[in-house]
Amino acid sequence: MKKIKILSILAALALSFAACDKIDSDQYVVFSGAYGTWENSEATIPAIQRAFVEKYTGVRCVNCPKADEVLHASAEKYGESLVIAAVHAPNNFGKPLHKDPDLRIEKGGVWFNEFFSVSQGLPCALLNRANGSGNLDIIQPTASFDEKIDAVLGQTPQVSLICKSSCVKDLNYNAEVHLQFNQSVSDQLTLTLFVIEDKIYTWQDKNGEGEVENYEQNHVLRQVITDAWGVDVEADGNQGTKRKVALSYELRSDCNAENCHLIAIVSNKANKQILNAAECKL
Amino acid sequence: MKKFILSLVCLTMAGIALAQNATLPQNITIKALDGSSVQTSALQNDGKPMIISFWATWCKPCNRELNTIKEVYEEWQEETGVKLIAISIDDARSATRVKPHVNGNGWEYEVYIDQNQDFKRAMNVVNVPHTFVVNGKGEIVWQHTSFVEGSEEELLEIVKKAAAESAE
Amino acid sequence: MKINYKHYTLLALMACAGLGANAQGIMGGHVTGNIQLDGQISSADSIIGAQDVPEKLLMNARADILYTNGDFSAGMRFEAYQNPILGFNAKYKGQGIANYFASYNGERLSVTVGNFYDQFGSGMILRAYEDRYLGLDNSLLGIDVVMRPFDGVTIKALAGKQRYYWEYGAGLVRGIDGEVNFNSIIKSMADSKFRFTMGAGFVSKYEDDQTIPYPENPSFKLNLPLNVGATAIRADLSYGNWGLQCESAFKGQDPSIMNDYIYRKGQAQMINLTYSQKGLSANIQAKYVDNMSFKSVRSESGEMLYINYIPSITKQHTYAFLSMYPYATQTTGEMGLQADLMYKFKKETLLGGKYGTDIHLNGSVITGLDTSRIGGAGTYGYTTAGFTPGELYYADASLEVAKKLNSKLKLTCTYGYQIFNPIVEGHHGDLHHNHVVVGDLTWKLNKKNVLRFEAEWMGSDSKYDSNVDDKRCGDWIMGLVEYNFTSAWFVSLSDQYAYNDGVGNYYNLSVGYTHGATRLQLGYGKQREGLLCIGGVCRQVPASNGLTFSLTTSF
Repeated sequence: MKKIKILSILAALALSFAACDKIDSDQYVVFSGAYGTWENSEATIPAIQRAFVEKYTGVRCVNCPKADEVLHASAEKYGESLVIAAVHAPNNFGKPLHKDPDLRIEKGGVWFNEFFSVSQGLPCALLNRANGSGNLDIIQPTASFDEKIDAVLGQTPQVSLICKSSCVKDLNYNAEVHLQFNQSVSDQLTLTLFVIEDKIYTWQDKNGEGEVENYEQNHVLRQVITDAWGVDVEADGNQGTKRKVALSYELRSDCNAENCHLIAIVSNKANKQILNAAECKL
Repeated sequence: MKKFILSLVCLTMAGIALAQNATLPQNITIKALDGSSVQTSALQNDGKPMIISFWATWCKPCNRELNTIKEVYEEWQEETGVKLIAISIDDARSATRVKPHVNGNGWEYEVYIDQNQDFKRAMNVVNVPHTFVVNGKGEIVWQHTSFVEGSEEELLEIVKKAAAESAE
Repeated sequence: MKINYKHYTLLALMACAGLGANAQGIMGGHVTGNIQLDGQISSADSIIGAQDVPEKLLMNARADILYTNGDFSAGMRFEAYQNPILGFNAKYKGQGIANYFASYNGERLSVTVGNFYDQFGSGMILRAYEDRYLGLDNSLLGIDVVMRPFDGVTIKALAGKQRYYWEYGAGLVRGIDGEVNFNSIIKSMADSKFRFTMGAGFVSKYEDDQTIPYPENPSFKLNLPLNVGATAIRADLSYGNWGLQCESAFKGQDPSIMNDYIYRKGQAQMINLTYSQKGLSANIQAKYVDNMSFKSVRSESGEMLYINYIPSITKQHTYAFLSMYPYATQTTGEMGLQADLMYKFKKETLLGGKYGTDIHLNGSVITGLDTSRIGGAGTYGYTTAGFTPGELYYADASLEVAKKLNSKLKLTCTYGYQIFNPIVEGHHGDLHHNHVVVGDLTWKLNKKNVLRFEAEWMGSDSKYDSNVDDKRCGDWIMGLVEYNFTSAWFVSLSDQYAYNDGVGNYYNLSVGYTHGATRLQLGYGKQREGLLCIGGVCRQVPASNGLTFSLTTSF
């Protein structure tokens, strides 16, 4: 009996030594957050200037639905020339109502805190993060808002870009961005990529109506694929240079890919001003 | 420089301790030809001398040595009571060939396999063949590396001397 | 500085233990050891592959010092490579205490702390060993416990990190193994003709995570298993003249540079059947290895840090031309068969003559596995078609006849045929087909003077091609004369010459002196790397050109 006891203790010890990790076939590779290398591009990149509006909003912000209406009208008017992201602010305005999912994300908070003070009221917005444009009062009638957009779209683009998205499998996506220097640019540029999602239905506090169920949130910033301030564009910056980069990421599992878009923005690294933007379906 | 001094100290210590004959290391596990484990303390010959020969199946001089001694082993045993213990250092590549090799050659020696080379290390064996003579008290009285035809005569002289000492 | 003061503390403790024991009047213990010096004064020779040596003198030195007192022992090893001789990795350059341990060896329990060597079964999942002539040292630094709770049962448990030149690999190796000899534990089997031993072991390796990019898509990385386990089970049975050994090993997912980071599991199977009686022995062996390279550091591609050891089953030849193309196990996948037959024709028979005749037949075939590729890194890798053979890697057959002609002359004649696929050494190319004939004559002039002659010929369909630079190609002849004066002195002169389709002329003069366990050997000439058996010993030698010297001594 004693022998059996000793042997069974040893067998148990043996099993504890026999640690062996098992990895399922769909888990052999995981996203590493590493970026692809920059290469020269052969793609045709039209020299189009677009405008990027980031709107800071919140489900507890009663005036925000008004801003949505203004933006919606502009979106209809400008079509692809206007690229929009709705960032749920990292404060109590953005806190979910009832049992809704939280639409705030960390890197959206990084942006907000960079451009606004803690006491900033909502809604507020930025257009191309341009110097002096400051906070756009987007509760103003559409006309005043559109004026500013027209001014941006009237410029000749220094840099233009296109983005492409493809699904590798399941939630693994490839993003590819091609950009072209239409003029020589000496400043270091960065490229930031993120995903927005339309048609998310949540509770929303609305001026005069109180809490409304199934309010449609559009252009919601869901996932920033790069760092909050992007990755360096590796290019000599000479006029005519065309560069491309590919990178892969895993989409958040609570996103509905059908309603998602990929947005790429090219910014000046020093002053964060946006030079141009592009959007494509995921 | 420190290292050299320390090494020298160690070697000096070694020299002092060398004044005595080393004995066979005990409790080192080797394998018998049937696969069972044996402790080196079991290597005994009732107070008579032993020859311990490290060899390998692939080593030609080793095989020449063991085959040469085979021819005269019976005479040696009668004369001195000596027992030859052959320790194979074959590793996994050839260890399974040791038993057929021994039987095929008709060696009447006690043969063990030191696959993990613990015994080889404990006995400071560098090359094979390496042969030791152990007297009746278990002391190592002689060792030699290499084998050439004819050198078995020298080995016999040593064994005779060890046997005479044991008989005293 | 390769060593730290912890080592000295340990040495001091060991010394004190020894002195203390002396003071108390307990048996004083013994210090034994061995010293080895190997040196080369070498000049470059592109023809034989000896590299240029700016230092002119290369020397390896090592000394093992072992202190034993009853059940206690302790030891250390000093190594110096200033600079390493050819054939040794340049990472060995330096000197210091490479190895130290203290050990208690009781009847029922052995414990070793420090550097230790051990193996489970034949080593298919774990073998910490060293080969001093090849510059291999996989010793584990840690603790090794061996228990023999009752007769016939052995249990080993160990944990440690593997030596990597002057450092230790980052992977942690842990293992446990048990072995039962049924003839010892079951009384009724004690004297049975049926002998039966069984064993099983587990080994687990832990290594920290690291980023290995997924080559298909650089933004993805491999999801690496941090713990890799391997297990093996073995049995050794014999009944009278028959013997059967089998061992079966399995390894979990272990993506590494050795298998191109695939997630396939590994396995190895080995079976060996022997029959022997006086004057006759036969054995047949089969082996199957699939993805069994097991290292403690996944990114190590060299010869170090192997946890396991899967030997080649081909015969270890000792004649120069027969061993010119040594076959090395392809741990990523191979299967093979080997058969060996030895027969002694009795004295006073037709073939036996006055003194008897020994014949020795050997053959082996090794092939790759029949695999279908799925993908590279980050995939399952490949599938196999079971035990069906793939591409031929190696085959050989040899016949050796040894005959004592009279009381003074002994002749050994060998014929060997080999097929060698250069893919096993990582090159693509045609198969080499070689015929080798060896004649080996020993002439005992009298009790003290022995002459030995060796003549070898190799005919090969391979031709030397400077792009591939395989210096073994072509047709070769060799002659060797060796004179021994007792076992103390020897002189040997040899020459290997490529007379057709090859390059090279390896002439060598060696002189050796042996006294007891001290041996000094001097050589001059060109030396091919490989197993060299002259002057009554066998040792592995590196390629060299120039003067070589070697001193070994044990005390």
